[in-house]
Amino acid sequence: MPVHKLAASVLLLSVLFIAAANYLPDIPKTWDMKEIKRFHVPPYDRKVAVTYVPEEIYYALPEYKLYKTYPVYIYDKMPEGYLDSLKSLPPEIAVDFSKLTTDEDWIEAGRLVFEMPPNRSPYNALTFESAWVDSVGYETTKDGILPYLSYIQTPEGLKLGSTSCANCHTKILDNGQVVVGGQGDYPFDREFAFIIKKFDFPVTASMSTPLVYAPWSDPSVKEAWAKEDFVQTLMSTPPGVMTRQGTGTESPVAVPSLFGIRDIKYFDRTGLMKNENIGDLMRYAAFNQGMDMFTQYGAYIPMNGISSHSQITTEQWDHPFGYDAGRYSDEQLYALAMYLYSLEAPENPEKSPAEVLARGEVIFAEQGCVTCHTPPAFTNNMLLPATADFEIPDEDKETLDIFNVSVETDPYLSTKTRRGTGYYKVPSLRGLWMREAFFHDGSLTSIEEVLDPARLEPDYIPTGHVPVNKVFQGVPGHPFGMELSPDDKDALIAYLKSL
Amino acid sequence: MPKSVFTLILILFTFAVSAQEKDQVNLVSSEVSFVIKNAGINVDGSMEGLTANILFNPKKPQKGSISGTLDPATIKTGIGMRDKHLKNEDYFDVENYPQIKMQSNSLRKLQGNQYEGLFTLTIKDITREISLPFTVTEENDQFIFDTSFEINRQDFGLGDDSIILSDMVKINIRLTGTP
Repeated sequence: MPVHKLAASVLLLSVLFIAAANYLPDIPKTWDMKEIKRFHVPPYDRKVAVTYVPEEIYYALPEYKLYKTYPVYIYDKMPEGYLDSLKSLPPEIAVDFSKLTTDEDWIEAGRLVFEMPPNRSPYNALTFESAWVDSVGYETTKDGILPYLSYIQTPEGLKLGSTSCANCHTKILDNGQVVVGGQGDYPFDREFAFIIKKFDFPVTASMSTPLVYAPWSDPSVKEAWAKEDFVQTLMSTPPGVMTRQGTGTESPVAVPSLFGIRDIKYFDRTGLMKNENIGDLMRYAAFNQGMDMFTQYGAYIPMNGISSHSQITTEQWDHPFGYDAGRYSDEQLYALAMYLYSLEAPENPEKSPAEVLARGEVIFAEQGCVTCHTPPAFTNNMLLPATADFEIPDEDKETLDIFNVSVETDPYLSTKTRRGTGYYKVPSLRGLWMREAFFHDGSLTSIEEVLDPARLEPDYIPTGHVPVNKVFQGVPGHPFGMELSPDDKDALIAYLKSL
Repeated sequence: MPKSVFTLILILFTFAVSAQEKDQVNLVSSEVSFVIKNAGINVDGSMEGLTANILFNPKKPQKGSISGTLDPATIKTGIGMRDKHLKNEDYFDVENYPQIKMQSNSLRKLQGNQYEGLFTLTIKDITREISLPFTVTEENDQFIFDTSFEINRQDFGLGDDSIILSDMVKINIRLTGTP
């Protein structure tokens, strides 16, 4: 080979090598106060000033260490000596972010972030014996694995990890298939109810107030529930629904599907945060994985024992969800977002005849469903007033995507809770075939129930979440597609399940 | 004023009034419907509350005039919540604009029972001139006015760009009146 060609080849290889070795994506800054203010939709009560954790305090928190995790088995199916073998393993950092060279590398790193549990309890904090598993109603794989949880080997020893992204956003289908990114079915509320019963925990106001109180809530939210009522309400929460922080015991929230999340313009049922770029997805994860407990509403900070952002230190950290003191790094959150973008829905097993689907599609248009649930995302990505008498502030008309009609579902979540904005977003109907929770509060459990006019009747008891202290007046709102002939309704349902 | 001139004015005025009275058409019934494509499907709707003042002589249409109002709060499309939405400010804003108004500027005969009118149409605070064809049929001592025309809803501030909702709306009006 001529010398000049050899030199050119060496140069080219060098450039490629350097480029690969230094592959660094343009990672947005997660905790950028200007961006944080832009991506938040104002609270329902516009008089309440909302203040976020200052940048310097956020970035002073230690980054979570991404230690390797291991599957959690129910005890009957746990391999012999499994826990002892884990205990003998050294802690191992799962990802070296400086060595990621391709998008695929970042996506795989994101998968590990998705599975990384910020809550690291003693490994035997919960023991998954058959009786416990059956009572609470955990789903497991055929091998007896609980893919929502993980063991994590840390320098402090083996821990049972929970509250990872996977904890909420993993679903097991009836055929045992694990669907990562589907509407999760971990029974958080039922588990909590059983823990209260098993350990005879008192139900106190301090237990629930940080979770569900907002300055614009009814004052009764600060009162302790009667234990039996509290337990019964938690027990009624179906799979795919949870009393998440910032929601309400009277109005928990249905877990969303993450498939196609890039197409969704607002996060949360109430459209609390905007999704305009990958940085917004990173911010959403940072807030909802614990930091939102430090957001200040007027003078109120939900986090126990914190009355000022200056008190947020590792030493004073006492997160009600048991999160270790710390935060995700920007690299971790970027990888996580890349992973979420990469998720693909499983194959839809619903196979209706083409003519039925075609008829269903026509009914979908005739009934006006298509106006809000517009293809291809099957949402028009707009916010609807939660109540008919909600007066839309003028500034919202400029800054938000508002479809000015209320479908008049229960307004509690959007008017009484910290996630309340006065709006509900139009949810996407994609992947409806594998959902178990319908409406924002999971009061309904099937599309058939959604389209059943009986649910509007005052004496109707829904199959999903039913707060015992609430005078039920049926399940109001969204009265569409109810007065169809049986054949047309079947066709519409077949079409909806094909999406 | 000389008496003869006064008498002439009075005669002319009386003649004019009686000619107008003669051409007055009293509204007996009305139908207003519209069709718009949504996701490729025709959505039918209607409005009520029409009032009209019609002066029309088929032999002298150019002397006539037609004006009317319509109540957009009566809109019906078969889906109650959609109707509610259409009454909101992003569509008809019925609270601030309770009437749709039409007023003819000129009427002329085309051929047979076919006519053409130039009208000003006011929806919300937007007024535009439109040309519309109409027919007038005499049946059982009644005039039946029929017209069918299209408007672009966005020309009148009715909603925004939409990937599924057509801009063009076909409007059908039938008025029945007695001469």
